[in-house]
Amino acid sequence: MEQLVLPQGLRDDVALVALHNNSEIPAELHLRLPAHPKVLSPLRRAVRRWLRSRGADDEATAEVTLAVSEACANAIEHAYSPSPATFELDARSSIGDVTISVSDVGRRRSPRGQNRGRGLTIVDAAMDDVEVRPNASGTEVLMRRRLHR
Amino acid sequence: MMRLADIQFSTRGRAMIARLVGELDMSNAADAGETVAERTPNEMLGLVLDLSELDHLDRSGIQLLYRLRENLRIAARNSRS
Repeated sequence: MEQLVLPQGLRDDVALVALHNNSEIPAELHLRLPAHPKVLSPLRRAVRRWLRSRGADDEATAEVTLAVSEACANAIEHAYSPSPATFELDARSSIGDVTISVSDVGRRRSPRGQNRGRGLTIVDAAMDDVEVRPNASGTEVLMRRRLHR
Repeated sequence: MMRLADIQFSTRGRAMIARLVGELDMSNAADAGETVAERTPNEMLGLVLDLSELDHLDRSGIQLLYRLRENLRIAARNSRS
């Protein structure tokens, strides 16, 4: 402000306007990604940015990102097909909450080993509502969460 | 392992301290587990995992904790026999 206002002062008021350009962040996210673990880290970054642009606080951002990452890890782990497998993420928000869907293509493998199956437990804990919907082409995990509890 | 996470090792007495920095997920948790297991000598009495600088830990990371605990249990049993 010292550099903007002359030492001798001004004859009128000063208005300072701060703009944050988030035009690159879409109102909805639609991603189709290869079913490979290496997509998870950039996917989490994209989801974090999107959640913040939707007004999520730090806690909601961290928890929803964790849940989405787990659901996508499930899709990657369970998806298998002769051709390169993909999965889809759709995220949209309405006033005060977000709805995120993760869909894979392929039959679901049963959880294997004593530590398998923790992913959905984490998703359940982090989100308000979770539905696992098997369909003709694969499985959709539909998650909803209020942004401020 | 890929650079999604770094592991810094130090010792305190006969305990190995592994400080994980970054993110652990299904893309790197198995490699991280192997690195920690390889760098932890059998004569160590304990292993401390410092996760305070970890930005993300998913169920692969939780599996890693269980696996390392099991490794330590086996190592302790072998050292007693």
